[in-house]
Amino acid sequence: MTRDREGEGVTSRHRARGGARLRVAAFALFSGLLFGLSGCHEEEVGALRVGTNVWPGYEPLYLARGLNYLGHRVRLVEYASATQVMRAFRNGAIDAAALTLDESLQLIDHGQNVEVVLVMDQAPAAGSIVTHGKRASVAALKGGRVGVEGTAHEGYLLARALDQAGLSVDDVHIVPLTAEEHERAFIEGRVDAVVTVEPERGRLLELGAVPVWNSAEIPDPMPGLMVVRSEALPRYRHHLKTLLDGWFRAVRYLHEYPDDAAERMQRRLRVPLETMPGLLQTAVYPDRNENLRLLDDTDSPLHRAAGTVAGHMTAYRLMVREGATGVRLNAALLKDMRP
Amino acid sequence: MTTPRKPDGRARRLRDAFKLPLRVAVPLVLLVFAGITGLYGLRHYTDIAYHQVEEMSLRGLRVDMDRLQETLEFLLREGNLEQVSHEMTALASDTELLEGYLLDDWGEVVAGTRLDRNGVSLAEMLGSAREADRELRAGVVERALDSLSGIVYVTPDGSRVGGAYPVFWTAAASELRPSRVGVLFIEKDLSAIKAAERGRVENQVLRTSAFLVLLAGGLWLFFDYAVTRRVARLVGATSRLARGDLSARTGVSGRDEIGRVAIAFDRMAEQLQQSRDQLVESEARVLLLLDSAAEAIFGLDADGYCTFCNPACLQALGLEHAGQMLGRKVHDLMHHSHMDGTPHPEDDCRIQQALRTGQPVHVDDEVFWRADGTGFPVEYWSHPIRRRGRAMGSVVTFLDITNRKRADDALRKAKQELEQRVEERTGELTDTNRRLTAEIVERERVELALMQAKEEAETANQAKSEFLSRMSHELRTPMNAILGFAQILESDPSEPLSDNQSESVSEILRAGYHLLELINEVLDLSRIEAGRMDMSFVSMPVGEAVSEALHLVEPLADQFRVSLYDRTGALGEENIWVDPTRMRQVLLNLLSNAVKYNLPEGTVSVYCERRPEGMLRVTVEDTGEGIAESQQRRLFQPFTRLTDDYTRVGGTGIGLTITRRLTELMYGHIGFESSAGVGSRFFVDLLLADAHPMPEGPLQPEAVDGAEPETVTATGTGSVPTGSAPTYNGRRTVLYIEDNQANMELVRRILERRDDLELVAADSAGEGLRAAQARRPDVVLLDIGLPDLDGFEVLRRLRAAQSTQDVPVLAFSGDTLPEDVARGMEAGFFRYLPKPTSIDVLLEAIDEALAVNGPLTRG
Repeated sequence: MTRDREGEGVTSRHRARGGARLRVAAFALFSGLLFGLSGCHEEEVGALRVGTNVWPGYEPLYLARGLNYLGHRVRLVEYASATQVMRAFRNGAIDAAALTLDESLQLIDHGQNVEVVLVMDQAPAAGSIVTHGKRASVAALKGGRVGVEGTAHEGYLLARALDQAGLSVDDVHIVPLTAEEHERAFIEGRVDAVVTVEPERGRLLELGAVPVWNSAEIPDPMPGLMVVRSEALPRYRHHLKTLLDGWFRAVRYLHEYPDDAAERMQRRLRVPLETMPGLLQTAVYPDRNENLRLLDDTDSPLHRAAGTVAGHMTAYRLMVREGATGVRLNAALLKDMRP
Repeated sequence: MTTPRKPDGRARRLRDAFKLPLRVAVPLVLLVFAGITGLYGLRHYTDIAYHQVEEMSLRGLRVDMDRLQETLEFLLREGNLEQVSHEMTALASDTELLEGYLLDDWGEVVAGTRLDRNGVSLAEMLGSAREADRELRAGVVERALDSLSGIVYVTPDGSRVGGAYPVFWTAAASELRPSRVGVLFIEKDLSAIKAAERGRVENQVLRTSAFLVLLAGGLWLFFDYAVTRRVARLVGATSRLARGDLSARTGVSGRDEIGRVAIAFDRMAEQLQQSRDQLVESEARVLLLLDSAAEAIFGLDADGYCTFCNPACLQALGLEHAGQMLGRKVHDLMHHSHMDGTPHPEDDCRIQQALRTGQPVHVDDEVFWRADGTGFPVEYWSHPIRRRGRAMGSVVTFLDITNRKRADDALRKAKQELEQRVEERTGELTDTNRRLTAEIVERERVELALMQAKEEAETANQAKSEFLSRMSHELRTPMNAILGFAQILESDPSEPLSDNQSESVSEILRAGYHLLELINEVLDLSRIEAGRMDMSFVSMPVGEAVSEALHLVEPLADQFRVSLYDRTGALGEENIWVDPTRMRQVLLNLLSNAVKYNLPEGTVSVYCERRPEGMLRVTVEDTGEGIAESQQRRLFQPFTRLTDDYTRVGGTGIGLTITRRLTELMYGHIGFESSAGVGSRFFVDLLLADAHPMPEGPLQPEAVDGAEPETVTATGTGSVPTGSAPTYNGRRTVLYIEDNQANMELVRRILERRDDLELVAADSAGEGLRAAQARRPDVVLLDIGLPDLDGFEVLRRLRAAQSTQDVPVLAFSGDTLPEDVARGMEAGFFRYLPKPTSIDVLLEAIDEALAVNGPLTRG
């Protein structure tokens, strides 16, 4: 009897101690949870800043923004010229940029680590050299003043055009102009010729400019690319997916509702609505599969194109670093996305 | 088993120091917590603020440098070096800017915030800086040039932010790509911003800490009030309780846990205290019981050793103190041998049998042994003490039955003697009883005889009173005629009397009135004797009664030439309990006696004085001849007069008797003092109203009051009014129903004097009723005591007949007792006239009745 009672006592004591332990454990768990939660907030990653200049090949980006496909994760920064875009990229003000192949190569030449995540525009180079009419050919430009944004795509075009005409950059007087300065300098007569691209090209032609050279005369492809700073890529992985998804949805929208899309784009490009179809024909937007093909690192036509362009650029002293001729392609993001 | 090592003194002190009471520990912990939180907050938030300042500064620096870089590149492309210099010097307007310059690709300052540094090399520029700064700046510039990227930095001590941006510099007009690269270097001071920020954070942390301290204080106050104080009281009460102070209470209340615990504690303590009080009381009772018990009581434990004993036990065993018994083997001490001296083995001990069997034992054939070795026969009871079903000992009660044994023998002898004596005494008692019975029978017979005698006496007294009453009634009827006719004789103007006749008539009237007074007084006396005099008490000022009586007696005083004096003074305002009518009667009697038995030119004075026992004495003092001692003794006897001179002193001789009786009926008493030749003082003592409650006395109907002796007393002057009687057109008929011819004749004679009245006479009730039907009289005068029908029946019939139901009926009767009058008024008589009455009263009553009855035309 007595022993039984003692036994019971021991058991209940054990039980009581067990209960206390349980309570202590629960308390610890709860405290830990609270503490953990308080320190466990998501690391703050701001919006992905994407720099662009005005260029029909990049326009679906703005269509996507207008259609709210990009959300708050992607911020488009609109610069006046590609030079500004590249400067901002170098200064770290942006982490992604829409640039042509030669511009991208320039960035690489400036020591930036970039990767191509999207081929936005597959059209061949689309620039022109226009004059007041007195100088009717490229060769006639010798000794003349040529307005050009030398640090951008136009500089490359001028160098190629002069090269084709058997001239060199030293044969002309270079007037450095940014894109927005072309029109005024041309009207004021400060320059004899201007290297221009759409949509300024169209406006200059309306002002009576005479095209003496067209980029169609060079066979090199000059795709528009979305490049991302390599260091920033892991951080903005989700943002970039949003960007790419928005891009493809906008392109799709452009095909499905071309009129509405043209109206939306026209406002930004500041060109008459009726010129929009022609303007859009200058751009070729490769789809996802085409992109996958183009970004295939092992055998990409881009590598070849880059090699060609880099060769010319080095020749024209537009690139100075040795070995900085290749571009790094990154198809991983596209592959991750739903088809 | 190991003993835990005792902590040495120092360790214990240290440990005790940490055992702070909650009321100290809780606020201390809170304060420490607030302090730590404050310090941590200061550090943490300062770090955050610094970090934010650095971030913001870096961001701002980037923006500034971006713009400046673009501007400079543009200006350099244009070759506008002067403007470049302006742009750079303008930077100095920013007070936080420490350094700002543009280096060319040779490492020389092209432009800066200070013009005097233009052309200075970077090495020279950095020369004055500290080693660390020098390395940092040189490294940044180098990296910017190398990577062609904008680079910003924060110095390791966080005091400055800076940046180096490459600036493309077009060297020749034909360059598509700028061939030169300069560096824009800027460094800004953060210390001022950080100091401001630190101040802000300190302020905020201080406020937060202050709030926490306040909160801690509030919590402490609350905790102190709601918990620690109450717990302290609970602990205090528990400690007191533990020390045995069962009156300890927490006095804490409330519905929270502590309050409930405290209430439960208080309740428990209350019950403990009650239990202990009961225990103490019970123990005291048991001790008292033991000490005061005549029986010897002791207790045994399970082994037969004594555990307690009472004084009676010690005495019985011849022991001096309890120590001789407590803790000793009881069997060995006093139960060791039998009466005959043979040993008594313990195994046979029946005291301990209760221990073995657990059953009570009663024994009365053994002996106990005293300390001196003598034995005595005992009767004892051994009751086992059980605890949990087992006998733990026993309580033994025993009696020394030596005396009982002796007494038993004596008793047997006494019984035999007693039986014999009882037989003897029984015979004696029987005789006595017989005698007593005879005596009781005799006594009962005597008592019965006495009662009969008493009843007879009472009956005789009642008969006497009724006889007197009846006689006075019978006397009134002829008196009515005598006085009436005498008045007519005296006042008849048609037949004037001669002087002798007139004197004779006056004598008849005087004697008649005296006789009437005598009859009234006899009537009063008979009512008092018969116990039919009711008193109606009121509280009235004595002076009022005295002055009224004096006023009434004034004519008599004038007649006797005696002066009256009211000397009641202030005491006259005292209230006394009296029946006003009887009081007046008393005073009138005393005053009229004082006047009548006074000497001419004498005086009569009335005094008042307070007497013991709440009585007021009214004294009537005269200056007469006084009362001889021989007469004093029979003064209050009826029909006692001091003189036989009726002519000078009127009176019946029973006035004082009535006065005495009336005074006694008013709970007073009467007395007198007299000395011959000096005068007499008669006094009555009466109840003072402020010293006594109202005496008991049934109220009398008011109508009875109105029929008091005044109405009975004929006060007519003998003059018959002639001109004053109202006259009417036509004669009014008065029906008089009366069997007494003399009275009938008297009324006829009276009415003859009035031309306006006509008498219709009827000498019996029957005739009267017929006449009433035939003549319909204007008023009916009705005798009550008619031979064929009494007056009340006649009245009832008159009222029943339609023609006579409104005719006023006047009763005219010799039954003048107040109850007779009341009965008459109640029956519906218009007036109740007593016989005899004066002519004036009679005519007045008839006139009043006529005025009330029927439409009259005044002539």
